[in-house]
Amino acid sequence: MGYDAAPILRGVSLEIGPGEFVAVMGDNGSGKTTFLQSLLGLLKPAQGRVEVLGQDTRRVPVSWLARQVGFVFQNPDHQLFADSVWQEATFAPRNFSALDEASQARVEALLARCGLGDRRQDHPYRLSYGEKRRLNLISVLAYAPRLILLDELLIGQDIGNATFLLELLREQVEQGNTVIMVNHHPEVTRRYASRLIFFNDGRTIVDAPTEEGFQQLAALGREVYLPSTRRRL
Amino acid sequence: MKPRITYQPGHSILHCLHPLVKGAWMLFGTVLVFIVPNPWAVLAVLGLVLLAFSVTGVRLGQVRGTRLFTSTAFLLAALQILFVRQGPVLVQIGPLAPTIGGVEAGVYVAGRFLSVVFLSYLFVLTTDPNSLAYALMQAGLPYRYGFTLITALRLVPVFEQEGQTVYNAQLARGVQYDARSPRRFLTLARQFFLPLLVSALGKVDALAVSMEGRCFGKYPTRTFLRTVHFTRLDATAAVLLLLVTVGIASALAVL
Repeated sequence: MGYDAAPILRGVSLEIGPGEFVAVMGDNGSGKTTFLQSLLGLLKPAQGRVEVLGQDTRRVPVSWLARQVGFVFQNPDHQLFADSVWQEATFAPRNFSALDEASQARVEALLARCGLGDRRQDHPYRLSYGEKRRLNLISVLAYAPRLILLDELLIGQDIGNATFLLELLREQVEQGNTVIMVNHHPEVTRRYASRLIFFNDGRTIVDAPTEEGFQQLAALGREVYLPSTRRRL
Repeated sequence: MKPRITYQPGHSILHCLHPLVKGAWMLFGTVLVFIVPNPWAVLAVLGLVLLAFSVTGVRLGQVRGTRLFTSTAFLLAALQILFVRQGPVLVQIGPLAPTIGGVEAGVYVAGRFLSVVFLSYLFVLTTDPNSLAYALMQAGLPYRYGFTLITALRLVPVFEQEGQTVYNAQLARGVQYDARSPRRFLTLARQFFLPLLVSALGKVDALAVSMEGRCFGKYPTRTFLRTVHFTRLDATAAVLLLLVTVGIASALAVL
């Protein structure tokens, strides 16, 4: 799995079930984003198989998977293309012909909770970075996907915003949805994730429940990735 | 994925040629295919261009866009052959009666099209954009414009990658790029280009601030760490170009 002809992920074998909150960690360029993109079928495996919601990603179009899988990209601007906050938030349900009263109510509630309720008519590019990030997440949660993929959602977020977004995600997990989040904060991983997957040079070197995962990371000498309370100074 | 239409490093004679001399040859080739009166001469020019590719070591078939341009050329040729009725009919196939004039027109159009495209490919694939900009600045182009050129060329792969990311981000929201009507096409295009434009403006702004912070433009002239030398090979190529130009101009005048 990779871009152009160069493989990035090799020998990755894992299964993620419903209701899991998975934190994906690893060095820059270790394959985390590639892993997420493969789960939506944006990248197809050259060898092996990726099955999402029982479907082989090579056999179904991305548009089919996108109905069940939400993806928040690293750069918020890459995902904003509607003319107003409301249109942006409701883009996917409209696109899937599923903008009913329930989904509109869900979006309205999410906008209100995220402090964007009175900015419905504003252009998305007029929002602050933190607001754009919240809008990115709202526009994914708007169509209630069963699997939510997040690529470094917390970049540039203050502690209040980050906590708010994480609590939103925790609610999704409590509803039985799956969250897979690329993240560089060990404290966040420990507090919110039920499972830790650590990538190194395109391979998973740790895949375990969070606490056990941190123990394995410590044994591998990856102490900088441990929460501060576990770190030996 | 096929290689981008960008500089492919190499050590062929064309790679080593001074960018401005190479550019002059490219310009000459482009003008030539439009002024030669014989369609088969256009094909000869196209043949020479393809021969040049074999010298560079770049495999044209593996460069992105080659198939599209070749198909377009064949389509253009087919249209000319089908609809231009000049001279004797070559063969009658049902209602179709291609003429010699039609075939010549087809060869003309397709040959010119492919020659211009492949000449541009040849130049882009064998010319380091930085060398081109430095050569232009040494030839008198103000360094502000030279730097603009370098920056623009350097950002091309960045924007290509960003374009792919925006495309992926839209696929992730269920957008299907299947433009069924001009209106749908315009909507998709706007949705695609808006994030790209915003990103581009952001990058340009950041770059401008960064350059401002390092006093870019303080002096009217500047020195260059890297220079592009005019070698004996370049002189030979330039003289040859002059001789060929004079020869062809004379021949055309006689004709």
